[in-house]
Amino acid sequence: MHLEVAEGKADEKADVAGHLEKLKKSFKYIKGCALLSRDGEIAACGIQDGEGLAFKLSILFDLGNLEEILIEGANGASYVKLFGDSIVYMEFNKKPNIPLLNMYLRKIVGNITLQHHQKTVQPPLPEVEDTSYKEEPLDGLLNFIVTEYLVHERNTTDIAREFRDKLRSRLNRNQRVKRLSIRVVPNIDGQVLEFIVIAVVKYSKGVIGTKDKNFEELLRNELNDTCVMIAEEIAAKLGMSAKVKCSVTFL
Amino acid sequence: MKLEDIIAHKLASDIAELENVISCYVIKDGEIIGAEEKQDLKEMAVIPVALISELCEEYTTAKLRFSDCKAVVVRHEEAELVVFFDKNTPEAVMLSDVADIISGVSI
Repeated sequence: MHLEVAEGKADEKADVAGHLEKLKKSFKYIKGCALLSRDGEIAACGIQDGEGLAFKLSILFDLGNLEEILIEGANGASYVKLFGDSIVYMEFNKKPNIPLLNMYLRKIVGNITLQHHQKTVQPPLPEVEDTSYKEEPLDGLLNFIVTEYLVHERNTTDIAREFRDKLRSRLNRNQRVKRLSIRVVPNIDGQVLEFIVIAVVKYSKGVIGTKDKNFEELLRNELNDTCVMIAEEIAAKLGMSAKVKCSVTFL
Repeated sequence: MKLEDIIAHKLASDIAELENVISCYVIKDGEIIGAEEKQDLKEMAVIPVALISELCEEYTTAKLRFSDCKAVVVRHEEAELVVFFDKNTPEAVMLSDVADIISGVSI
């Protein structure tokens, strides 16, 4: 059975939610679970702050060929597994029996196919004498981008560094920010230059040492706006549009 | 270089000497303070441990499987160790080996 889950297909979403409910009932120590598409769309969710969860998982699964995560802690365990384009996220009161869990997951979730926006893999750099882009208009843009990289002696590492340096210099003006860690992963998706930005901010919390939610909100907005601005600046130089996925953690 | 950074680099180097380890990173407050890379893992080199931490409060370890390798994240005092290793090595073996090394080291 294959299900295509898309916006407006409420009946199919209900089917997926039914699968999730079945999954939840199959495990004694389960606290909650969610089913998401790899690009962060929620198919069914029984977890608080599903949007935040989907975002975090979409970043994690964007970073490499990640297939499975088991996180163990004092309060239980979290398990995340990729099935094709679907991500299953589960929270347990104690560490689950992974082989048994996988067997259930394969049976219940393995056949569900969530809608996934196909990502364009960054092409390898062409040979210097390769001029095929002139003859193939569809590949022209990608080749143009690659050529631009070569003309400006740029590669994704340089782009990430430029982005990070600009972001750091603009955010350092805020005196309450004590430490700032920024990780930038650029990615070419068709005509879009996409930046995944993961920031960890340590800020001064004053004498009492309590979290300042208003300050965090302000800084989060500033960070998001600044990231978009920088991404657009860099993308414009390459004749592309920009997209930013930004995750901020406050310490 | 601060003493903390020297210890972190030595720790990363000692762990990277373990058989089947590909790379090791020591992270504190979200920043890499020590690293040893036998192979370049490019963009997936460092796992955003802050996100992993948020996925399970008070986590102690995280085991990650990639299509071509595995990784473990181990919380050690105020720091986190991220170790990438060969996918044929069991996580339990790697965690035990890492635990042996970090048991006598304070960051």
